[in-house]
Amino acid sequence: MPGRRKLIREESLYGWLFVAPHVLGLLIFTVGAIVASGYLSLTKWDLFGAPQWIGLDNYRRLADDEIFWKSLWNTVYYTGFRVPLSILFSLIVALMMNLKIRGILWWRVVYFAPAVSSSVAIALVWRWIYSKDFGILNSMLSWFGVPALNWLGSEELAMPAVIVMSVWWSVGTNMVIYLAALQGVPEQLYEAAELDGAGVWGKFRHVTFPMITPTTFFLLILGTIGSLQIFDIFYVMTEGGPNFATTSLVMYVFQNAFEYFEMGYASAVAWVLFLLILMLSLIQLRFSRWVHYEGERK
Amino acid sequence: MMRSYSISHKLLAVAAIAALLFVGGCGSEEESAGDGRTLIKLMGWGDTTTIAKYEILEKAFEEENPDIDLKVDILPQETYNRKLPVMIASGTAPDIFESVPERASSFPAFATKNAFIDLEPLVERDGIDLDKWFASVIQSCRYKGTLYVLPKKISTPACVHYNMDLFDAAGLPYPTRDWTWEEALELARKLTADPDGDGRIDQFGLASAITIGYDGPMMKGWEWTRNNGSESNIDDPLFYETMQWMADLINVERVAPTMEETESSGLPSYLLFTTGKVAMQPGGRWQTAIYKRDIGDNFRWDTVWLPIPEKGGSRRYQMNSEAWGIYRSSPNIEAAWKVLKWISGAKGSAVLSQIGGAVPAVKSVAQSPDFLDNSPPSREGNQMWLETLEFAIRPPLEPKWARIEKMMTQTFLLGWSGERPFKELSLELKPRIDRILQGGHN
Repeated sequence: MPGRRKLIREESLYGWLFVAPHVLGLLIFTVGAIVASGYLSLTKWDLFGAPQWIGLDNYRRLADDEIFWKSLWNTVYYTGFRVPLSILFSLIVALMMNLKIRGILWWRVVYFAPAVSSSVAIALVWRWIYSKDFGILNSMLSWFGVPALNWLGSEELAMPAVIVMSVWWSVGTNMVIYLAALQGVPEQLYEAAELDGAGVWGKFRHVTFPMITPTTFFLLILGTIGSLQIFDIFYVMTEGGPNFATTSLVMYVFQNAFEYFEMGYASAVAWVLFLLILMLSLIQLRFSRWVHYEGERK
Repeated sequence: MMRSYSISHKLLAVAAIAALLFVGGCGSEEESAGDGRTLIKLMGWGDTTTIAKYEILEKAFEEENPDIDLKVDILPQETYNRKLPVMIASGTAPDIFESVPERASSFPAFATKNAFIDLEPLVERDGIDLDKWFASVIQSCRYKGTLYVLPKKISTPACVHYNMDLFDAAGLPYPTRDWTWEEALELARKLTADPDGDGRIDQFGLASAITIGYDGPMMKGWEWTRNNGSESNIDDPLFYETMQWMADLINVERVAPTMEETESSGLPSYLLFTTGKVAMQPGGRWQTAIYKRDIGDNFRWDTVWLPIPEKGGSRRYQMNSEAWGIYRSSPNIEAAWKVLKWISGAKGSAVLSQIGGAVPAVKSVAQSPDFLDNSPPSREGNQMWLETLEFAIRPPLEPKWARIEKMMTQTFLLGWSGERPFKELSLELKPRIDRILQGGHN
């Protein structure tokens, strides 16, 4: 039927037209930028003259750039603790917030509050908490005889301190996502488990946990990607210091690009980060058999 | 010069960068004013006390030059630092823009890489007398001998702002021109007080000397490098012992507030002075405009020379100025040159002096009553700025020093906070700096 084929053609044309703004935007501003940075990473470019082709020199230079390795380590360190801790605490809080008790709505608001608070206010409050001389953390620790620690000013403590703050900050949003997943677990599964004699732990282990694995997987992937690209928290809390103890890869990209005017080198760092994210995401996808999708046959 | 920015500054910068990365790709504007006049765009930076006032400059210039439509765009400094390189890269930079000629990251690149034109031929053609500016400022405007920019204003050499009322209350004599750091410490001890007796110091004699960067060691005769610039000199005891002495004012002597004590109020450190919590504030001329505005009639204050290491000792300061250059791809270089001559000359300098508190770079303007008698500070205090210029020098200026200065700032934070001794930090950092100095990069 020619009429039908014409209709399909027309519909697909309109379809493309409707998605065109987004597809074009993606091609030009995302794919185009990625390709361009790939080319730039093989050049020496200070933004002013024409980029000068230097092959793999930028990548070779990375090998003995101590601050690159330090920021790579910082990024992995941050991600390695921040992501699992955030998922763990979000799940615990979500399970508590899923209890059917009086005033639960109020508690949910309390736990979600950090997610909607101004980041300036949050940074200010946490800098106060961590303050060496006046901080509430040190004054609480002093009850147990712990000497005053310079949380944000010490090379060893700055990173753990920022991780704790970042986990606290992320729990609100992740909790809401978990809460939605928890409420989507069908009641009859719990009833069936109860008939089989499952207790609270048994129900969690055999019903709740498998049913929310897609959410956990989602938070794991997004959390990992987001953490590897961390910039703002460090910038506000520590400015990357002291002695680069909290300089992340993205901060280092930024410094090379806009403080040292080495766009080519900055692009090379960015590509290392890109490959790292790609690799970790592939690994996570490859080993995602623990994720239970409803309706999927194993 | 190091300045501490408050958190909101940093967040503003983050937002600005995000916006910039988004807007970076958008197209350029029309180039003509549309009414037969030549449009000249000028971009620079200012702080909260000056940004709104630059209209005066535009008007004053156009009154005398009706053939040119001058468009002045003044941004906060952090925004400017991110925006300008992107504009240069995309070929849409303004006809005239400014730079800190002492900043290793940008000025050498602007000068050598097709950003600024060489002004020498124009200066020669029009017979401009370079002696009308202070010699050390003009020296800053050159890179490897070539003149790329003309002065806007002078932000510093370093000085000390002091609160006269606090000195009077303690019955102490005001600091004088040849005071030493030991004397400053003596005064600071007497001016540090805890009147409510709760164990927390409410009034500090001094503020952290982190604001004067490496002027302390430089005054003692310390040089940044040795062996023709191939080796860092931070392992010289002159360097780390002097830095340690300055940090001890905070952590051992307790006559100056720690970074936390200054920043826990959420304000940049130099603002403790405006509330009378610090009696003596080391810093630079860039603070003066802020103090003039914020202190008002609350108390009397003045500026005095930075202390010298010992009686009869020499002086040396890091130069810090601002200067304008002409964009190499400007479509109207002649008109831009006309603007540049005017704004960096006596008339422009006088207008700029009205706008902000910085020291005029043109001698005749700086020596006029308009500048000298604009109190506070006292006439003597204002006069001091002009004299310090004789002792101002430029830090090392190759692009790789941007990386090195960052490493020094990051590492020595541990010294300022008393976490680790400067000696240890310096000896550790030296080989790392030497690798960059001797490496093939940059």
